[in-house]
Amino acid sequence: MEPFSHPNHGKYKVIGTRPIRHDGEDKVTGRALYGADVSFPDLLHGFVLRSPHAHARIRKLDTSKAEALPGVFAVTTAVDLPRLDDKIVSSGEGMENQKYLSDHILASDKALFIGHPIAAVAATDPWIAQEAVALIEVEYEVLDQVTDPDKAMADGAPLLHEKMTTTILGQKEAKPSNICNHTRFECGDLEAGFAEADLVFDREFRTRTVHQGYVEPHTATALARSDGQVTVWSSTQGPFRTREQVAAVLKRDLSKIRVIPMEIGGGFGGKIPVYLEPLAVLLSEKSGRPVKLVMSRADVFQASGPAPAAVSKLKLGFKSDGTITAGKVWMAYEAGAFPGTWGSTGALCVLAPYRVPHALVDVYDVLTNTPKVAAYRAPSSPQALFGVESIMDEAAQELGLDPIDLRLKNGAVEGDSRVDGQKWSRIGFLETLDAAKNSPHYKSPPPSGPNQARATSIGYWFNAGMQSSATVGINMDGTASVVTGSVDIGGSRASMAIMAAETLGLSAEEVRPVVGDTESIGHTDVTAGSRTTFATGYAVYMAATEALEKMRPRVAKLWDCPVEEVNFEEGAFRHAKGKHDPMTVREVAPKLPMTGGPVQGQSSVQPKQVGASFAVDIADIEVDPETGKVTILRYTVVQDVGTAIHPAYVEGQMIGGTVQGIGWALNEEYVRDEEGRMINTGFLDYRVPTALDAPDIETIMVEVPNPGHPYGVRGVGETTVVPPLSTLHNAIARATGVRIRNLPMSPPRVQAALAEQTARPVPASD
Amino acid sequence: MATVHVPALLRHLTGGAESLHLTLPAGERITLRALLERLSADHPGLMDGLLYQGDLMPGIAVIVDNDQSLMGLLTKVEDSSEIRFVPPIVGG
Amino acid sequence: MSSATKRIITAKVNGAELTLAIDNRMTLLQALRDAAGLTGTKEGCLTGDCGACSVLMNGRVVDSCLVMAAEAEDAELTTVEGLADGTHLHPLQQRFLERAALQCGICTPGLLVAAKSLLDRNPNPTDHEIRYWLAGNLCRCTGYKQIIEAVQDAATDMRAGK
Repeated sequence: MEPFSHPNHGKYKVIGTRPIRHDGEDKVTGRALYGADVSFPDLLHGFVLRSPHAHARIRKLDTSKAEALPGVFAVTTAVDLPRLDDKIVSSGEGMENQKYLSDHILASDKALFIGHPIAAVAATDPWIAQEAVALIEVEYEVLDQVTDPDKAMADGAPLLHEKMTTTILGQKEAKPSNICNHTRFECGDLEAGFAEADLVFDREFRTRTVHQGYVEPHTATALARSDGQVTVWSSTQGPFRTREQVAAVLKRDLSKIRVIPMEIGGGFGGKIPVYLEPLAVLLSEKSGRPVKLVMSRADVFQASGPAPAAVSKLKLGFKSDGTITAGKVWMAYEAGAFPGTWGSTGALCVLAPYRVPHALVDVYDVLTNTPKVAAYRAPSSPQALFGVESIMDEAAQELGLDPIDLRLKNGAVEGDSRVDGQKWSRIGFLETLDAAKNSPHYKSPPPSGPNQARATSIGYWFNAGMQSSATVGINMDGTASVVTGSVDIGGSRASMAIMAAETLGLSAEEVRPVVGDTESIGHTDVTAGSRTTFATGYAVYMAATEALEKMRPRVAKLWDCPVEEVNFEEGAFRHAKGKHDPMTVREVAPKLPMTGGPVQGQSSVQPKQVGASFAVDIADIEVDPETGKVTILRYTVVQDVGTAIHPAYVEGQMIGGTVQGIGWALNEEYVRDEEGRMINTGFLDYRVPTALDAPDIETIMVEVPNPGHPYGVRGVGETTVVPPLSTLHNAIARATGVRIRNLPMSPPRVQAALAEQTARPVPASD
Repeated sequence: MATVHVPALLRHLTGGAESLHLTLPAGERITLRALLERLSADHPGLMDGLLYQGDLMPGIAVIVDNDQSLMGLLTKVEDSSEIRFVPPIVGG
Repeated sequence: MSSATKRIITAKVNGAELTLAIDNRMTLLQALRDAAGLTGTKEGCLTGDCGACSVLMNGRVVDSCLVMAAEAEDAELTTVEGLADGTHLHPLQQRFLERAALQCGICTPGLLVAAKSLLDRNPNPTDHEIRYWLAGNLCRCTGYKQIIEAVQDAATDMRAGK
């Protein structure tokens, strides 16, 4: 499409306003229906038996006593799942071997993580279901387990999948190992690049497993009929993707399965994979009744998909004027119990914000006896950029440069190549840096008390495009309905209404946005990847434009003129020579029956000119040397948001992502005992930021429109989780002289780092 | 000359070369599969390194002239084409 | 369920007297959602750590997942469904919408109930007092800023008699 040049940019009527979201009243009155709110008179309650061992062979599994318990109507184990071929497929989350899909849903010969489902039952009440599960007899042969990615890579580590060898593109390594994926990018001449450097930093960093922390646990209800038709009500980020996964695991045609997405209580990437849906379907098929499953909070932590722990060894070279000359990256990401390829995304991210002419990047995905990892807001980027942004700050300190100036010097612009060879499209990195430099926060005097400091850091996410469908129906009174396949996690349906309204010359209130299901709208990929306002919005624009195009000949009929003389401009159909008064959509609609019948626009798109989004954070903090607690005194987030369709929800994404990043930086981690068991499986001890922990956050939106979207939209949702990790790390370093390269920088770790520092004769970076 | 950038992990098959070139007659467009077959003649194993069960390895994106092609090995290329293979981006 | 564990309770829920058949093992959360069909109150953790199940019980904010249903006999309960006055939204509900203080909305019912409890006691809270009072209600989507602003707006409305 043509470069962005929408005639109304800057003069939009609806885009940029803040209408109340159409689903808002139901959500503040408790009427909105989420997954667990589904009910039927004959509903059965499901319960899952999960492995208590991180790594064990299943020697015997006897469900007979459970089946015999009165009130139990179905029991399912892996024998009920069809055998899937050994076949690599593109899952929408990278490469996966589908033979692992069924094992993930129900363990066959081995339990590979604590929480791994072994069996499931359905009973008339939750207490009978729990009692039934306790009656299932399992004989485990406990095996050695490994939960750290670097230990799992070592020779002699216990192997999770004995026959699995590293797959590198098409080739397999000879020796079985836990390394399921290796990605390498190489450009220039690394040795020459480091030789040019005046200053080289060689550092190691470590982050721990964290969870997306959505407040609504996973839930699925299924009703299977004897003719094979299945309906699933699910808390999912994408009904079409859920349907595909259920169909793949159970080997069914897609047309036999209808997935209805309920309102969803948070996802952040964690509700893209399915866990419960196939179990609910199997139990419903065996019992002939609807079956509901809800994960407990402990199960959510232990058996859904957290974000991977990572180890990184980074070497960056700088000239004395701050120019980056070379970069060497080695990273290992936790994959969990089944192979995945998030590390390859990390490899794409790690050096991407900067021009690095000579680079070698090696990133590994490593199997561990922990739950298979899933996406979490800009997946793999926080772990990758944490270390790079720490080194950038160290370099700024050592070279005596303003940290924002150092980024401005090296920051990528349109046309710059990344280490993987691709070139950046139009991005707003430098504009965002400039806005941060000129912000009231940055211009104010930094905090100067003891153990206080200011620091800055950056983050970004590429964002995704993928597939979306939309229909725009013109009602008989000229109001409109917009149906999309995009689950609304954060207010996106309001943005769909806004974009349709802008296109049709209506108000947001005159457009009714609807989230469809797999039977009522064309294929739409997940609400994730910061793609919804971009790609689904694109489909909405195209569908609305098609509706207008279909109305042009109708107006021509009314005006008895050639259709070429009718144009839609400034919110109305206008005659090219001004021979007729303009007609709005509301005026044309009642005439549709007499001029040819109803009008609906439809569009299915796969837009590729995605715009990445950059953010720059500024934090003022104070460290309490006695307790190790970090108090945030002031925090500002500056982000390139493309075009803010609904500014309040854009601000909401910026603030929400930042607070998640703050939790990741300062407190959140999976604490595991010697058996690899997570011991903080609740929100008390897996402490996500509360209202009292979260600082007030100032937001500055920079708008660099994305040429690849009719309204200049860039995805915004994911980027802001990235910068807080390094921003707070940099601030702690500047406040105390200690670089804590080990996340989270929780009070005990800060205390220990400070104690170690005072024990040494000179302040040292750890 | 059409240029194919070789993924770093396959460069041991090309003697370390980061990219391979092939001259195509002006106006001729061939599929990426055909192009790789021709290049594999001089660099055995190169095509196999990108294939899985006869087709492009799932999860690899084809970039032609800095634009992602979704057609995989069916993508048509010509003498001016610059081709790369990269992992795709998704999100959470 | 066996009759040995069944019981009838009567409670005033959102101003109306409700008679419910419950199981002794039910929590108040289960009784509200499954027996009374009031699904507005949400389950988040079942261990009293997230506040999604917050209701008012005899004037106090409680995590209904930690209250046994049987304890609600003769109690006066307010859930999110009871905040609006017919079609007239409570100022908190209205201001939450205007300030975009919800994204996924799962924490919203609990937050509204807890915030109402605060404003009933303290009509003029500082931002810090609001954050402190709401620290038992986790929100993972918004980062809280817009929530605090909405509560302040609603407090202003209520002080003005709206």
